[in-house]
Amino acid sequence: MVDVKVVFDMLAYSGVIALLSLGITLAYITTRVFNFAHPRIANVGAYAAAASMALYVDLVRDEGIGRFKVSLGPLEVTGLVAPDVLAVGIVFAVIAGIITALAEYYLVLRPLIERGADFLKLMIATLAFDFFVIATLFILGTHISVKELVSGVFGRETTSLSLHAFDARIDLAVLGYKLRGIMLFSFLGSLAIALMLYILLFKTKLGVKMRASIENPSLAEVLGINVQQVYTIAWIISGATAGFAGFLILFMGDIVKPVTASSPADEIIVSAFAGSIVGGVNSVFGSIGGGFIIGAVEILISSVITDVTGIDVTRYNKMLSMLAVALTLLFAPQGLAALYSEKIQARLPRLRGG
Amino acid sequence: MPSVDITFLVEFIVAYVAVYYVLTSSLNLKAGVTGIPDFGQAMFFAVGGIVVGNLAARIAAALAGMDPSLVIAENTTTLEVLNSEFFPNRPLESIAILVVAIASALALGGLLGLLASYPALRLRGDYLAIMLLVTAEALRIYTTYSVWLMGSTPTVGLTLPSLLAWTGDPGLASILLTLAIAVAVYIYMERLYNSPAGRLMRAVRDDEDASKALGKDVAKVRRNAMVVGSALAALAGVLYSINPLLAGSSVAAVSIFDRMLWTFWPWALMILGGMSSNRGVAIASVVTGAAILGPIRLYKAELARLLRVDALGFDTDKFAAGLEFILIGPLILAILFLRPQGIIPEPPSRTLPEKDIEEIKARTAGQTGSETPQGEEEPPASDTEAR
Repeated sequence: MVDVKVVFDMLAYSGVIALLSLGITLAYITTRVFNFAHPRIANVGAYAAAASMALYVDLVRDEGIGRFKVSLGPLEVTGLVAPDVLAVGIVFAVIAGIITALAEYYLVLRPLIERGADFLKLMIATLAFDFFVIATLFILGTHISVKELVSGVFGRETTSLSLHAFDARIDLAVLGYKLRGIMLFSFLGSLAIALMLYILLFKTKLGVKMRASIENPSLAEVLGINVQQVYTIAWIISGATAGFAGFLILFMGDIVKPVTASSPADEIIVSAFAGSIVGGVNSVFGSIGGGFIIGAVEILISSVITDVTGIDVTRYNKMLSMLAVALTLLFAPQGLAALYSEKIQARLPRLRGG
Repeated sequence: MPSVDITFLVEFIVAYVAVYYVLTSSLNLKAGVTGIPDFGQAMFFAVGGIVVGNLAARIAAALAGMDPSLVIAENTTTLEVLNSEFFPNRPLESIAILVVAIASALALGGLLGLLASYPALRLRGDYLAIMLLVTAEALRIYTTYSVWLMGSTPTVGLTLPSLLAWTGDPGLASILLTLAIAVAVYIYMERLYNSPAGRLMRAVRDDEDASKALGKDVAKVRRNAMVVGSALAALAGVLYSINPLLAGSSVAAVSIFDRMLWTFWPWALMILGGMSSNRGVAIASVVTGAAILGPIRLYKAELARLLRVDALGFDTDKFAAGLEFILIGPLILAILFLRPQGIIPEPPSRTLPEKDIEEIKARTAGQTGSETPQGEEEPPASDTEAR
């Protein structure tokens, strides 16, 4: 029997991976290249969230990081950080993510595409941007003493930038089980973003334009759609979701490796690309599904294998996502979303005929 | 002004240039000449380090009458004994172990390249790039936590056997060896480039369908490039690991699998020099090695102090650690914007003089009496190794 904690770990982790995969997919749709710097945008978000929360508590709030308690029948939520502090963190993480993503698109990728660079040159360019951002983070991170600031405000418990000791606790009296806030917040947050994206894409005029540009950019252009504007929006969403994922990573703690000063996103890069590829790099919602599949593979399946065989494989769970990528690329190179739509399209003539 | 030990600096730069040349030219063979976007180069490089730290150390322990399994279990103590007592006094065994290490690294690197060529035959472009990147990352994470392979502490890793201790100056000896191998690799690459095998690789890169239409086995060409290129990358890993100036006394999964150092730096050098241009890669290795890699890796702390970054509020150590990366990112971007074809663009392939071709034609006509068969002017080097 799988432990309840494993299921909730999986939900939290899957949420973050789904958000990152979504961003990679959106960037791929607009540039036809995998953005190697994408996990680094999440790093920027994490730094921005930690620094802004610490500065906000330090400069604006008088009563420290605040605590609160909410009771909803049998459910009791104990927050270790006040909601307004968290909101500040989210806002700045998202803004920082958007700025970084737009900088990458407009300063690096767009000019190169206009010069007719092939995918190799673009890929190298995203790597170069990645270098630049990590070095800047590394140097600036000490310059404004993010670490000292964060541990000064949040106390000694924070080593590196991880805030997982300050995650809210949800007491499930019914199950007799204490849940960490991130486990629900990450899962529900990614679902909420998927829902917002659905409304944007399928219920608004802009969404029609976006889908048209994704499906067929040249035809969309002929029809008078401003494809450039649509691509800009795609990169804004890509950066925003990555920034939000960075905020979530701050609280992940033992679920993924805690955020460290040097390279927080290094371990996640495999999973994020895996999610994007498994879901289908051309499908926005497929990537969210792919993220959840990878989360399930890495946390649930590795835990089941450990339980069954008695050998601890949870540390090697990235091998499982690598396997998922390999299998997808070999058997369904367009991803699972394409398989699904192929099935529907195969059924259509029969439906018409019958 | 910080004191600069000129001899040490020169040795360090020469060693770096040589190792990076071997590594980058192996990447150039795969990515530049054949068009396989290998973003998993670090994994092939790591094979070399793992072979030296694992296989060579175990063989040495067995020869010295120690328990080979102790090499990993009590890595530091066992190898301290070996390095102080065994290697300095046993030149013949040391040479034999070195030869075995190089041979097994070539074989293992080639084997890994063969495995990695499986997706390379089926996937194209960015999909393949991402697949290789993900594989290298997954292997890095695997080895980091694999005690049997990389020792128990991920950051310290394996203590390396001092295979050249018998020469008295292992630093200098490894540099000379590395330099000799780099020169050999350069000559090999020059010959390969102008051989039918090299021409075929470029033909496959430029137009796969046309090559197929001419009856060429495209899959085989890709596989050969992956095998030879990956074997050479593993050789670079060995050269790095036996060099006390570069690798120090130990090698860890986190450093030998490092994406930035062993995948992205070679990519940067290749693009800087000119993709598919052997001379360009060599010049880029020398220029960046002399100008950036050597001096900055050695003296970044002094440089940061010299620039008085602490006066601007930066932490000197952290600034020094980030310095190399903050230089390479804009450097690559500048090349991509200003000179996308590199310092020396791909040269046109050298054709044989008409006189020679006529002679070969006459010779083959006399031998077989048939029309000129494929690849008759192939030099022996590429015939045995690349085909």
